[in-house]
Amino acid sequence: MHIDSFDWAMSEGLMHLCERLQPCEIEFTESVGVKIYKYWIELLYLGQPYKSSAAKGFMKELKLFPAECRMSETSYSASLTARVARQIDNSVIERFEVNLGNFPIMVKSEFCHLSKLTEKQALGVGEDFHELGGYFIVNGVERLLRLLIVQKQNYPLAILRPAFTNRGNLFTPLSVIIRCVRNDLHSQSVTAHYLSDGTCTVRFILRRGEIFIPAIILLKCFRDANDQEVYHKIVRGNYSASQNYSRVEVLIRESTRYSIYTKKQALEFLGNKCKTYLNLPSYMTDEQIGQLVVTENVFVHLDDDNAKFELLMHMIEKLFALAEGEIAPENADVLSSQEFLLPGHLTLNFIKEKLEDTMESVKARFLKECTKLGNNIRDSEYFKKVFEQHAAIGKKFEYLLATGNLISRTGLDLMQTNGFSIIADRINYSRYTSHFQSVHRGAYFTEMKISSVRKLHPESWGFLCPVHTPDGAPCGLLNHIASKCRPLGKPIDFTEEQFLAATKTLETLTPITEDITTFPKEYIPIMLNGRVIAFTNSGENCDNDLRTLKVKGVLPRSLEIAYLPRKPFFPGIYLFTGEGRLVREVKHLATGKKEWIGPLEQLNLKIGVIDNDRDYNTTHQETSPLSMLSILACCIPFPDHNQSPRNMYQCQMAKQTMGQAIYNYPFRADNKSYRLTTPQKPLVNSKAKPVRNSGFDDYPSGTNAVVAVISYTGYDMEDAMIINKSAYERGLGHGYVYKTKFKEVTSKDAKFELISKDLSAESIAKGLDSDGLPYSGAPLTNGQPELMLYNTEKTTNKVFLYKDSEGATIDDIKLVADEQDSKISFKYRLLRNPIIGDKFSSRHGQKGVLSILWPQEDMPFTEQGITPDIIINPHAFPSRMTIGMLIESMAGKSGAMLGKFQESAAFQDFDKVEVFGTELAKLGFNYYGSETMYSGIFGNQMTADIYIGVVYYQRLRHMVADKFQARSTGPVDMLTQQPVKGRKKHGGIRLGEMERDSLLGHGGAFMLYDRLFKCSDYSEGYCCKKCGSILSCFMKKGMENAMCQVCQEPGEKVTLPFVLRYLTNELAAMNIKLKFNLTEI
Amino acid sequence: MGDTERSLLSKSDEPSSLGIMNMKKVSYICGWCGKENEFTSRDELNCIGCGYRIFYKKRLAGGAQYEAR
Amino acid sequence: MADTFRNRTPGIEIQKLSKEKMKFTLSGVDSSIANSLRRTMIAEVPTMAIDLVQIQINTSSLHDEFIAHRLGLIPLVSENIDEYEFPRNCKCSGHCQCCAVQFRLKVKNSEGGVLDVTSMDLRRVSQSANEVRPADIDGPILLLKLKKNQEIDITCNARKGIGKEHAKWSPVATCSFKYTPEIILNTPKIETLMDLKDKQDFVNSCPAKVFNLNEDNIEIVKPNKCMFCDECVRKGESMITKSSIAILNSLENIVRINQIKDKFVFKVESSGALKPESILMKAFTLLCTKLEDIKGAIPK
Repeated sequence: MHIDSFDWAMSEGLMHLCERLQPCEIEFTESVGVKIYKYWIELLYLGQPYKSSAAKGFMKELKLFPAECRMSETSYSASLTARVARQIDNSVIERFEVNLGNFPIMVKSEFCHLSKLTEKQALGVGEDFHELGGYFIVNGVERLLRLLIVQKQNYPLAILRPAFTNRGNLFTPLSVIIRCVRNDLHSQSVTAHYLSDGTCTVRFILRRGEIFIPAIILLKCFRDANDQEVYHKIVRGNYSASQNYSRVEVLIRESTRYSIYTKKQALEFLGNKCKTYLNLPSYMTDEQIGQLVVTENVFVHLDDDNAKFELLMHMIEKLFALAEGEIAPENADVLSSQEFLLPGHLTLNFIKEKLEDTMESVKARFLKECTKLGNNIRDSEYFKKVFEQHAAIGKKFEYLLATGNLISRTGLDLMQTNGFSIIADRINYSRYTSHFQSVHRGAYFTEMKISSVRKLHPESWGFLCPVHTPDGAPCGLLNHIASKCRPLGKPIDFTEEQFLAATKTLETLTPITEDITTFPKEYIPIMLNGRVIAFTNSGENCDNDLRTLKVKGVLPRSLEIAYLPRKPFFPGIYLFTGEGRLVREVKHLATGKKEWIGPLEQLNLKIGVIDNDRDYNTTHQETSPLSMLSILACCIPFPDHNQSPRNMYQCQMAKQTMGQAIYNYPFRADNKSYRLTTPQKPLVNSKAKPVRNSGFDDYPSGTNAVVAVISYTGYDMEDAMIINKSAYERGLGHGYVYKTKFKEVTSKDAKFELISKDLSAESIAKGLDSDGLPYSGAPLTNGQPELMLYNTEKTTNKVFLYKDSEGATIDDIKLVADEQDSKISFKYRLLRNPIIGDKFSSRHGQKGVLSILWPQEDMPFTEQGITPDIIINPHAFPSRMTIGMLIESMAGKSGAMLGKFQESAAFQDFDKVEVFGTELAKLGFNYYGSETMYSGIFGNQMTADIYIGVVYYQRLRHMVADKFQARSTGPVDMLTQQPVKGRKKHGGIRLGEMERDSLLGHGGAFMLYDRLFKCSDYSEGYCCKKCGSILSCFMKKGMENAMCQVCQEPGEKVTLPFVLRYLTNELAAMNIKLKFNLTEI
Repeated sequence: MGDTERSLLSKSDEPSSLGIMNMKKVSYICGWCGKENEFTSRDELNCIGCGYRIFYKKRLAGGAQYEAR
Repeated sequence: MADTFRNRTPGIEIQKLSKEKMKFTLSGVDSSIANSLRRTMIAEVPTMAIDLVQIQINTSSLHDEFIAHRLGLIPLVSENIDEYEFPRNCKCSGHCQCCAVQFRLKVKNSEGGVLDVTSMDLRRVSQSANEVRPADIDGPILLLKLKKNQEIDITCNARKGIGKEHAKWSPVATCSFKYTPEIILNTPKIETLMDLKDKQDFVNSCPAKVFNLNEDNIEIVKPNKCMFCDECVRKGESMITKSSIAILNSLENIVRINQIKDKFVFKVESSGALKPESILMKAFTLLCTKLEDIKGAIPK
């Protein structure tokens, strides 16, 4: 979906963008020989990534591939070119090709070379065979744009928001909001507010300014409608029990108040109001400006004014219905009123705004420099130069990707300015794929104190996974899409005409024509992308007819047909074809075919989840109950037997496991990557489609281990686990960490030469190779030389040392050359076999730390001679209720014996204990999975039978080697002489206030004295007994006793914290003296 | 394997053999075509076979010693 | 527990013996002795295993450490283990004929395709004719695979060691024992309480298939298979409670399973380094030596 949206945005999207982009006109007031200087962009096109021109001479392969960018810390980008047209004073139109800079390319998109390669060919260019793509490479780092949730486009939403009362006098919380999105994805929201006097005011945003305009005037801007027409269109013959007609009367009367009766007057009114916000040529009249605002800023998704008129009428009607209490307010926080903003769409929006900015700044530049320019003003080269200088869109987009910060004039109609991009880390495959399925509600909501936005609503059924969301701060804001849900990257090409042609034969539907635009109240509107196109007097039948056409394929299959019945909804059939919508597949029972449905559509469909759910009014059936879960949640074995938070924890933990993250190790330069040396496919795993397609089988992240649930030795208390020492020695949990560091040969302070002839003798003596680099495959320890370079300025050799306290092996060394500089890339390999304190977990949110490696002969054994690889404590189960893990243990045991992979999907309708128990009994084991065991230490049989089986265990990336921190002495702060903090700096761990309190509580005075003073900033000094100063009293050279320089009295030796001395000094600078009275104790 | 006995083979590091080592250029493998290159200065960092500019340092024969555990 | 003190004569009865497996009964000893024997077999019987690996060339896709680890785990036939010294006891400084056997693994794939390198590619370097060689039980052990032009050249030193130090020196795959079961059927009760179907149910209740139904008699066919899961006992109980016929002394069950706590069924499965019987013999010798050592420690 990431790729889809990018492909669409960068081809068709850019085309629409150019069509819609307003030409820029410079009007010169001074006489510079030119009066009107007009320019616009005709065409934008994105190329494919190629190597920069400077290197081309030598290169055989000119294509730039992603692997090279990753290895050399460069960006994967291609040139974005614009064809700019220019017309001076209505003369001939000139056209130029302007380079807008290198624009980052999404990997595996149409513009990426990989998209045309087969799997095997991709291997040849250093790619992993399962490369998914969908991310960008910025300075060697893989980053992706997050999916964001935005309001559903082109659907008027009735919202009750108390904050609206602060908008002004008469304002009520009632409103109808529509987010209009044009085909170039330009988005502009329009809000109709209900006022307490019964009228309605429309609000929209124009260049960061808010424009309020009475609805009736805006109506008149669209069409010369008379009051009668407006009245009938809203009341629609419904006079009974409704105050609507009186509201309409007030509404109409308002136009009289402003004395506006015609379209011309209305446009002039609007134009006058908006003039100040726009920077327009002076020759434009208010009416023209008004018309421009109407086309460019109000209901931008509609092209003709009549349609805009109909839409506003619809919105007013809905607003009045809301005010009347006929309909319930809608919730903007549920998925049915939302859709996604996909990366491509954000990109297109971004390009659009930056192009507008460019056009404006080019204009400003010309206006500023016009007098200086003289005749050069017509110079095409100068124009091109100025344009290129101000464009640099590629660089700006790269910044957005690299930092996630959006620097924007308008804010792109989004609620946030940062957090747009994230790193696609490859800790393991689960984490990597999850990034592409994650959807964020928006950075704005992270600071909100209320929890309503985080709630799990029934509307997200089948679209967002209820399990896969993190706990803690981003809970409920960061969601993951369900396995069967597909966000649409591009809109369907489907027009109103096509719709009307396809539905011509339907009797249930009456299109609006020039003559008939007003329908009685029994008729409900049919809207296509926010345009009223027809009415029907039988919503249900019409919905059925349309759905049948959709399933048959007459209407596009991803068309969303949302029939909202009267009460509590505002009735209507809403059709959507736009991009960013969510669809998922269900079975249409009447035809037996697959149908794609959307979230708003789903609200009023009767969908059976399992076969038994069907009753007389069920119209649809889920293809599988699994489709409500995300891929990661589907991978949990028997999740339906676990307590639900455990499944959430597992979804988090699966993303922190070590495993086989990638296969193309030599072609990657990740900062840090993890690898398990002996990963296995889980014995107990689902063979359901989402899991099979996910590719986890090729990228496993754990080991099948024999696990006994027993309280043994006491080393398994409190979530600690014991690992069999022999199992460990045979390779259980062995793994590596790879770290890559780049060394720039030319730095800020010194210029080095990479390969120098003069190095060899000295470097070999230092244990390095004759080129000054270490040997590939050489071990390094702390303080050992790892590189020697020749400094060309000082003409000396400089040695760089390996500084990490943990030893490493050099996995590979690469020389990376580019135009200006060359780099050396060191890839270190750190062997990280399990040690005490490393973290492990099963797939059921049951994590624990390794507490001891227990010798095999001391482990309990079954009569078959099996000793467990892992021992966990039975207390891990009662409160956590992860029954799934117990079932997995049984299933794993029989699976291991039978040599088959056991099916473990959620919601399987059979008795698991019976099935696996019978299998076990057939194999000669106890039916319930427990076995008689003997103590390995004493040799006697244990009284209780022990539950033992095979469970898939994951090793988590949190390792003691990265975390342990200890010091006796070490670096101290310059100013205070106190130990510094931070593990990296070999600092200490703070003994904070709470810790101090507990020591006080225990009466540990000497302990406190030791911690807070002796081991901190202990210092010795002298204090004058007379004046009590510690500053004036010190020992001079040659003196036997310290003397106070002020009183000439001998000083007393005192011990005091160094910060106290510092404080005294600082206070002295402010003319405050600290006096210390000394008494003997 | 923290306490692995690993040491580089350094038998040829006697002073007399330094001269020979001096002459010996280090070879680098092109990241694209796999051809071996020898460089004398950084300006030459272009593969003689294909012009590619990323090189892997060749693994030294006579590597290291490990404990097999 | 009066019989604990009765005069016992230990006995060993070998039930099954093959190239890699052995099953025997050890009787007349306490579980402490049995367990000592088991622990000795797992952790104290010395074997040879590759311990030091010198990697000259490795252009395969696997890391040095990983290959070294795999080499270490190859079982080496160590029948003449007594001819070798532990490295720490050997007079030499590094390795010599007395404490080490040297192997070389030198393979290059020059033909293309994928070449499997297995334990059979290990060549002994030491000249002396000894029988330390990679064990061949289920065929060669795959170590790594080589692509075209990939090459490895590794020198390995096999040394003597025990399983306590590292699992690679342990001569057994599994070594375990269990108490010998004693199964007592209450035949009269069976006949009064159970019909044919009940009997069949009773026989089926045992996952280890200890019982068999011969016409209408329940037989104990494989008593040693019993794993004390008490499924039959529970079945019996349920039949008694179910039964409509009230019988005197109903507390007595249909079946009683006793554990003979001084008779053990041992299972030894060799890793391939030593024959199972030599593992046992060496374990006895070791136990004796240990006791001798302790005896020698008594101050005179």
